[in-house]
Amino acid sequence: MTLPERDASALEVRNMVAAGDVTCAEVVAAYLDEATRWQSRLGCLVETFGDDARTVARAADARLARGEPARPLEGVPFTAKANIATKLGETSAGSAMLRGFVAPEDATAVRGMLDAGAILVGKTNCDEFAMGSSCENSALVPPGGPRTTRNPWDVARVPGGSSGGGAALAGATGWAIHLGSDTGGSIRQPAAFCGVTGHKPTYGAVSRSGLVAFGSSLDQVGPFGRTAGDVYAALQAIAGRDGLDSTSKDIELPGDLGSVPTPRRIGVPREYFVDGVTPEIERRTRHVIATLAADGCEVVDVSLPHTRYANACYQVVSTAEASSNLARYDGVRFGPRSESPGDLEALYQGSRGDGFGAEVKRRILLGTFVLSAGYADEYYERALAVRRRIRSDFVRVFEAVDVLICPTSPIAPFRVGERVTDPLALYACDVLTVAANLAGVPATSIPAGLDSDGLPIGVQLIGADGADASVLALADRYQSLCDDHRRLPEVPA
Amino acid sequence: MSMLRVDDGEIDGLVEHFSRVLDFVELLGEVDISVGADRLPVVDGDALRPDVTREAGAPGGPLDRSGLLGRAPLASDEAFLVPRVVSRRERGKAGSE
Repeated sequence: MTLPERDASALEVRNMVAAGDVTCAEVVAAYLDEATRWQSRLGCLVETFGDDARTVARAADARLARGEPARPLEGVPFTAKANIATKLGETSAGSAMLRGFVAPEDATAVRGMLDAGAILVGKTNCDEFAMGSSCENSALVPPGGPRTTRNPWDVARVPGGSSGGGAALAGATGWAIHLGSDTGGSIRQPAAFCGVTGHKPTYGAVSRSGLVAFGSSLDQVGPFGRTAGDVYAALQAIAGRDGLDSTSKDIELPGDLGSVPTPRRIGVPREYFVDGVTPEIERRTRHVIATLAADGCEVVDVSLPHTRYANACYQVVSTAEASSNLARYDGVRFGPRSESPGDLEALYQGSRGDGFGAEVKRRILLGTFVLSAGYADEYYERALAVRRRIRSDFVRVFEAVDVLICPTSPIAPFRVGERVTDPLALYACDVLTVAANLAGVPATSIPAGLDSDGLPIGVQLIGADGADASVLALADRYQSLCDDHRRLPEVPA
Repeated sequence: MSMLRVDDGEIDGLVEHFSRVLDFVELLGEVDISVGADRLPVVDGDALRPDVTREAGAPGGPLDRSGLLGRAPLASDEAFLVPRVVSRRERGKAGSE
């Protein structure tokens, strides 16, 4: 047996399995050992499925031994965020409201990973109902780890969020794919904080069936991986039109990322290099742009003039949709029921008051307000009109360039607890990511080195609607020119 | 309207939070939405599915009764079983026996 190197990509692991250098069972056993070692420091997993994963791995090995061809992700371990439905384990979305809920079906994205030969090894922590940017809002206490999920590069800091558990594990380990969800940056920001590649697909490219809804016109399931190639392979496994999600659609994802033409016209949106972006992050972003320019890319300054309204627009649209989506958790249809309710209204209020955490309540209240009679025109309808302008900015700019490059997060990972008491300061973390969700366009965060404190910096690549392959082809090109994506934090003792 | 019980001790904090968020959201008022409003859809694509009947068991198709009831935590042969919502005393008051 030759185990893959610690920093090996998922595709390298798959190719070793296909070549018979290592078995699926050996990969799964070794990965679970590694994840367990990190769990005590990071608290990234809320459940592991060791026995089931080993059983599936042995079955895969038996298939390969019979001469069946290796599938695209054969033997690759993967995790799903706690808000993505899996028949194994709980799908709690990080909320007391769904504690103990076992989904009757796998999410379409999970089924895609399983069909491609990947092996589900666990569920990862997240902010409650994916509402947060630090993974500190989860109602779950990760077993065998700290109370809140930590950053593998500095355990005193947050991993980002809301998909913080998957990002933290991806940042600490190679080999695997981790499914997250992104409503306003919840894949890209934690990818930047943890030094991994994370992709928010084009809206509709991946079915939302089985994803616990937050903001339905914004939500997308997407993968974390060590490399753009890993993320692309996972995207191929999970993307496509699905009868269970009427907003899903097919996008072009040619068989091999190497066969996708590398985009050559890079746009640098001036509104994304503003006050609040740390000098080190701006410097590393410009370094990525310069590296690609030296490789032959044409670099063009562009403008997305409505960017400054994106975060305000997002606050209105996302909370409005959240208040609607979370209305179902009333203690009758979904969620634990309040004790001694008295009457029906008290039952609803008590069940929801007990079941939701503080941040979720804030968003439900705000969303209810902006949709209420007398205020909907002033807030919600206006936000939709602004959203169309934000989307129009992207459509126009992609007539001139192929991919935009900008920072993913304006700041480095912050300390645990530092922003808990100031929700608006947390919302500000999303300022550079929300516009891609509002416009529905694909965006990837790639590692771009470390800052002077040894913390990862992420750079964001944004593409036109449906141009996920181009975005990841450019990410892949950058990763062929540097080794930022290969860096891993030191193994815990 | 949001059917949330909010404790008295939480109210001041929520009021301050909403004041700050709504002040921030006022920024949207700067955008002149009365002119040049484009008709781009908010999201791309046609979210309406074809109006065709789907077979039971097919993706997006209906579940049969036993399949549906089998997903409930508690069910009889023909219905979901749920805990009583309103007490007998409440029902008596409403005269809805």
